Amino acid sequence: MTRHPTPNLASRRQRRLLVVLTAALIAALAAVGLFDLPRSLGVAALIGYWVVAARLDAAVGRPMRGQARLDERQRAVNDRAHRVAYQVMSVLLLASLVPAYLLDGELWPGAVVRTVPLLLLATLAITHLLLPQLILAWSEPDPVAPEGNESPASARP
Amino acid sequence: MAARAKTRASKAGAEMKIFNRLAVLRAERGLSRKELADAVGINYQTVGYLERGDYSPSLELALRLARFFGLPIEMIFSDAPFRPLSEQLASEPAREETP
Repeated sequence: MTRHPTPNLASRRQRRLLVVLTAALIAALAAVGLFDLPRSLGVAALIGYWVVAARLDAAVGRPMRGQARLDERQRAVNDRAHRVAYQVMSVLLLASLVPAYLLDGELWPGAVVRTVPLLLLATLAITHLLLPQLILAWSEPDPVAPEGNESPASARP
Repeated sequence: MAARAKTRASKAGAEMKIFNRLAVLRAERGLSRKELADAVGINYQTVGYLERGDYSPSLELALRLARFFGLPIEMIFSDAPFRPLSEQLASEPAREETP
């Protein structure tokens, strides 16, 4: 039979903590870009981001990795995570155009490049890459043991 | 109107909870989640989520599981909760032992 890769799923609580940490670091990066805060804060947030992203990789794996070897449930949750991420990113991208419109009175890509800080665009790119993984980490239930000797009721969180 | 009815039906379909006896059947046969998962070609986490009712299987997976246990699909999966085995046994009339 096909082998199905299993990331070493952390508990839901641990994963949600990682999601909150990552969101805080992304928000810090965006704040540095938006309010022209000292760059050292941005660098610190970036370093923190890489550390947390590595932990997140270990906790849920990467949604697109080994896609062909996933089973139907894993594919379904990955697809859902990407669908939700697409919707959220659409809103975020449109929201990033609003300041450009308000500041410049223009609504074309050149205006965005002039008015939206580069670091904010980088934050959007990071969010775009990471969002499906964050959604997975947040929504996956607690993992089960491979032996499975406990009763289904006691396995429930 | 028809479109609205269709949307309502598909919504109801998406929310329908499927109950199963996988945990009991697996325990009866002394299998671990990993062994059952390998036998039907899924991840053991998926077996656990099926047992907990966190995931409803596709028809294909339900048929694979039914074939593996050698039982009709409706004996493993149902849209209504199964009666506990003890309750079923208690409601059956006492059978006489035949030598």
